[in-house]
Amino acid sequence: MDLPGRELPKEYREVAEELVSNQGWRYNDGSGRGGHPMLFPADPSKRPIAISTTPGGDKRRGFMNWLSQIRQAGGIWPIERRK
Amino acid sequence: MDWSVLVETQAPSGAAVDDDVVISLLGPFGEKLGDHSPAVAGDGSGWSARFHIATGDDVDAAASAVERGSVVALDAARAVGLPIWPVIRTEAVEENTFHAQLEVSNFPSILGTTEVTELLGVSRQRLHELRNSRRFPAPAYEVAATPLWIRSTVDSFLAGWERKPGRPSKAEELLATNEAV
Repeated sequence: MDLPGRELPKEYREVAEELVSNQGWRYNDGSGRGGHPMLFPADPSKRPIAISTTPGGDKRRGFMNWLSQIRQAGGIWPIERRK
Repeated sequence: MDWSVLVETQAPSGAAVDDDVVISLLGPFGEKLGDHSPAVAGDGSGWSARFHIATGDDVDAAASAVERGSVVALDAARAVGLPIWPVIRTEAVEENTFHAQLEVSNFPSILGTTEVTELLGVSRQRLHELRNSRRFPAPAYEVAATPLWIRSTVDSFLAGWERKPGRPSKAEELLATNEAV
């Protein structure tokens, strides 16, 4: 299982780690497919999501737009684990 | 006004392409949309982009955002060689509203039997009776360990529940017993 590393900014990595470790998603660091890190949803009917952290635009806006794509593909965030 | 705009396309039946073709173009697609703070997704069956669009403050600003966003997304897709498939979904959400929605978990608050009895202040037996009397909402899910209710469903029941002190009536007990059999 590929896990996201320091190639991702911290806020993206935190979400990606949760999705891969606990929600059945897959991660590819981009070394083999198009050069960009990708997340593959647990639900195979949902489309892979690129993690684009290139300069340009507003970082918070970019992160929130990405988070919305994650949630639309079935990812759960934020996580509220309670006991 | 600032908007988060979604543009989603889908390949017509029989027109899908190889997943790797689209996936390899997502990076350039995102870079092309770079000034719009984009997030992009896609495979051989379709692609989508969510990004920032700014408009004036007029009453039809949302429609303008969708219109401009569609042009921006399709121009960027064309420029990098993504297939130009029919747009099947567009959406514009005012940015502050959009961000506020994302702060709230998209997993519903759920309650098992123990949590429901604590919330209602009743015993498990009483909850069982309420369920059998059909006055209590059905659980959203049943797993082996417990039925599960969506929290808002139980809150709604609690708000309208005319709690009667003492034991349930014989008729209610009989109904519960009969339905449990």
